[in-house]
Amino acid sequence: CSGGQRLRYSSAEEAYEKGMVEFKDEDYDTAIKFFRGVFQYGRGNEFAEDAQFRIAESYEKQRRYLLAAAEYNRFAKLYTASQRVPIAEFRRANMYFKSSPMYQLDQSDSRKAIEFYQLFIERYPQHELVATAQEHIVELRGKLAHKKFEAAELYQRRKMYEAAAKTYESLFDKYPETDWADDALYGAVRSYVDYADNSVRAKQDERYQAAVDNYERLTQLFPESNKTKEAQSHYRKAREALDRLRKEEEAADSIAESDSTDNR
Amino acid sequence: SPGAQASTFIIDNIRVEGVEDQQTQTFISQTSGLARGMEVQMPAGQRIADAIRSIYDLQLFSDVRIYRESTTGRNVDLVIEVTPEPRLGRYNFTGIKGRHEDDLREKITLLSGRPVRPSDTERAKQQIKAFYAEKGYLRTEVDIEKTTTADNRVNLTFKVDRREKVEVETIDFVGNEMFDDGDLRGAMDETKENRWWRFWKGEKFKENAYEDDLESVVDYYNARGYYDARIVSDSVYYSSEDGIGIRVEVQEGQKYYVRNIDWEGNTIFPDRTLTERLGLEEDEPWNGKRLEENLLGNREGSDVMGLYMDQGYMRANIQPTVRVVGDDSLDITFDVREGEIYNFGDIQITGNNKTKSHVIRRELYTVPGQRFSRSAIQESIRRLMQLKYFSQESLAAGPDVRVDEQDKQANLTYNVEEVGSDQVELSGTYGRQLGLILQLGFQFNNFSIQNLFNGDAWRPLPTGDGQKLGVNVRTNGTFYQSYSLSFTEPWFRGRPTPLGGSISYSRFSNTPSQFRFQQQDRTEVGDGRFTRVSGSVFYERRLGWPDDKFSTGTTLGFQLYNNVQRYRSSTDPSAEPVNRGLISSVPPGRNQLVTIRQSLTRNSQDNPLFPRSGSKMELSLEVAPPIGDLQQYHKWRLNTRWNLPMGNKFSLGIGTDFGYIGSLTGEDVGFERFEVGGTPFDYSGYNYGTDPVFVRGFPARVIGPRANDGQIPIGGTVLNKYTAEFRWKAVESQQLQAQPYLFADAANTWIGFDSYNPSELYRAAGVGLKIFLPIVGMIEVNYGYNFDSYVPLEANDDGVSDWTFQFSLGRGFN
Repeated sequence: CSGGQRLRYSSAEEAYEKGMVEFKDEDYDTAIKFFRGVFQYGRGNEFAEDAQFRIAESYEKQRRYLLAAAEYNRFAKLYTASQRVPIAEFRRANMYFKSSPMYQLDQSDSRKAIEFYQLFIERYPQHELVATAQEHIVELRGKLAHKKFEAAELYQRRKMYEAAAKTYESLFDKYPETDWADDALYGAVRSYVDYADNSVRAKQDERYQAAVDNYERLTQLFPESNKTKEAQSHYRKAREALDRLRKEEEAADSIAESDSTDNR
Repeated sequence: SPGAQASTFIIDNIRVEGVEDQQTQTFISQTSGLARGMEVQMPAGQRIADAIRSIYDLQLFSDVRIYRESTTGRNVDLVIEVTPEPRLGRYNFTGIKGRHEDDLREKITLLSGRPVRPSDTERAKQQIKAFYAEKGYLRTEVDIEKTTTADNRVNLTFKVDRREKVEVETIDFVGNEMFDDGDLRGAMDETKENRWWRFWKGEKFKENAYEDDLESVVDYYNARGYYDARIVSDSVYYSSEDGIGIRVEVQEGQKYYVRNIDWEGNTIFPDRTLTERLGLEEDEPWNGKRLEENLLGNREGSDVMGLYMDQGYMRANIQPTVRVVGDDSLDITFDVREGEIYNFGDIQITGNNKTKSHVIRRELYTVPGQRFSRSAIQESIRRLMQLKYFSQESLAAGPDVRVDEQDKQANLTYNVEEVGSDQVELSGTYGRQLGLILQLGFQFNNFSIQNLFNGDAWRPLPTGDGQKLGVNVRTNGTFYQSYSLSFTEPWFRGRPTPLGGSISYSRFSNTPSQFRFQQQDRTEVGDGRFTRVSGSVFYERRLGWPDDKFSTGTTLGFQLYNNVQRYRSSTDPSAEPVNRGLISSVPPGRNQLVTIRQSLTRNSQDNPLFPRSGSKMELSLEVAPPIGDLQQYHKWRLNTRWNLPMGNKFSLGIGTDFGYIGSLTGEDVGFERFEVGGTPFDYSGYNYGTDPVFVRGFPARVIGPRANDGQIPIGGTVLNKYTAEFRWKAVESQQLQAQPYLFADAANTWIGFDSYNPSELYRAAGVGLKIFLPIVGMIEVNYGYNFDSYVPLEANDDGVSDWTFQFSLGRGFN
């Protein structure tokens, strides 16, 4: 108990008022205790709804975002008739947005935030905060894309070309609207060429072709990106390799025809 | 009426009964989700059911009913009737020990201010009983006393009577002829080691463990041919006031032999391969335990399923059918469903709120696009465990596997739980030379230099990049101090190429006489002083050629010595005092060295600390170039270790160590000479400008050339050392690894090639024990006999052939 003082109040109103004094004084721990005191007079008393909202806000001010998210959620569940339900649902998503760490760390909170923002947009498509929610979704998806990009780069660096190519491709498939999309396509071109270079003859064809396909996607979607320029040399390499392979195949086929043996 | 169809009404009014308070009534009505003007189905519809459930969910009422008060046309007036639960005030215990109270309060799910339903109190009672049963108090009784306070709250008192602790006094078996009671009790012991030994030694009876152990008894028979052995009956009875007896009746049945083993449905692996893995042979006694393990999963991963699971057949399924043939034979048919090949898909990491994903991902053997493999998952988990950043439980659970049946992909999520991995070490060691040395060391194992300016990542130092930072301070309180700082990035630029460096500073203001030049006719002038400043940077790379076991290392070093102790000639006191240095292993005065060391290593040892197979060879050249007034030398080392496995537990290790230090300019080399003999512990904190070579059976520094009439070891420039060990890997577990061994060592060092004689070696042999404890690190002790006598350096040593005890802490000999 802060300052060794006992919490004293004799009505829901008094508990709420005292809570607000502490809230304004930024002593959120004590404020929360008073607000909780309001509930001793029943969850249905006229101050309970405000108190519940203030508890969530107090946790938010303390940057205890996950607790705040839980309290906003509780608010939305308990006071379904309240006008502040949309705000509470938005803030719940926002709490996860705020607790989402840098992209190298666990992104579970980012995923939760996206999910709750989407729920919010679905439920209240006309709400003035929808634009903000959308902005935040874009930012969070950018982070998730960045994380995937890092994983792909790691595989590329470690010469695990197949894993790199697959990861770049899946990054583009999942996050095509993010800033990482052109990087992903460029990465896919590069790693498919490396992958094909290190493959057995029989598999080279399809892997160079995958590099070419990704390059074509890149030039179509991001003609202005400097990644497109960087990808050119890899693309050329893939084309040349494909031409060479096809010629060799034709030569082999003609020999095969004359030998009438299957040479594949 | 039962025949009446539910029909739709419009709510005209809602009234709440059962609570007086106006606000609570409003609250209940709000919670119900029902409102004026709303359409409802009566007598029963989804809306009404939802409303009742919502109000129930508040957990404030023991009963909720919604019914029609009156109906006017399609309009209806509803009544919500609730019966409030009494609420809990406080609860307390009598008859228990104080320290159990907190534990109990954590287990008990009662909350102050919440309603108390009879089911809640009954559950609490069971929780208390279970808590004490776990501790062996099987006959605990709990009474509940309820008192109602003025404000209509209920206070509970749990009156606990633990009674006497129940111990297992006897276990008897009936019906066993082939094996005696002791064997069967042993079987119980064997399978449930950690729980079952408590059964005996802790003398407690635990029901779960007991059930498992009955199965173990059956397994014991099953593993020895008794295919249809079973437990006919078992009874647990009180044999006295505080003891129980157990009586188990078994039916052993017949001993069975395997007649035929058939595989059906296998297309990838031939019958022979599968049968070999199974480890059951035709005409051998039936062994149910071995069958189960070698079919579905054994410790070595050499089971039949492993064969499939490591080739991508993650949905493989093998069903054995056992058929009794004749009197004592069994035919086993395995129905194999191989399924399709799966690849690894997306690999995710969650729960890492400190450690960056790349630090985790780089340890993983599960790579997108590669074939699903059980052993890749197991190896990944092993590697993550070795990092020590995460709780063992979170890792042992394994990754979540989400299977994409369409793409035949297994998507994994490794869910880690961060735990502290930093070590703080405060230790005191007693050295003969320096007395008591206090050492304070910190080892940060998950340091992040990248996060140095990221305030959020400071806990308490920047963490998350898997780098190692060590800080060490040592002092003996009077004349010796040493500080060092080291840093390693094990994955420089994201590749497994360690980069690191260290700096250190040491200072002596005095030293034991053993490490000074003995001055016959001179006396000291004032206090001496010795300082050393050193720094080094290293970089290691793995090579792909000639094979991937090769690696190179480059180290750049700098050392600065200042070694001052002036002496005045006693025969000519008027002469200027001469600096002979405070420490004899380093030339007097101020000396500086810059060194470049390049090494080439091939390492195929199976384990860095306890190798059993493989070999390691290292060739290195260190050059201290003669630039300006820098000290100069060139130094060659060739180090080899060969390990020959002998069965599963034994191995033979043979090692050689050759070294040579030469001069680049022709001047004498005063630095980095070989000091031979003793253990790493003997040298700890006290070797300057020398290169210690450890030899068992001899004290530190006794082998090799001497100055001052044999009193001062000056180190050699030519080194030969041979070791042989016969090792037994006795204990191999997470908590402890222990390896007793027999050894034979031989070594010598010479002042130059003029005096070099390869047959002139100091030899010793004996027994030793190498132990690795995760917290303490390596401990090695040995008891060795030196065949060759030596000139002793210590007064209480005579140097003749004898048995000597030696030990080393922190690192082993090799």
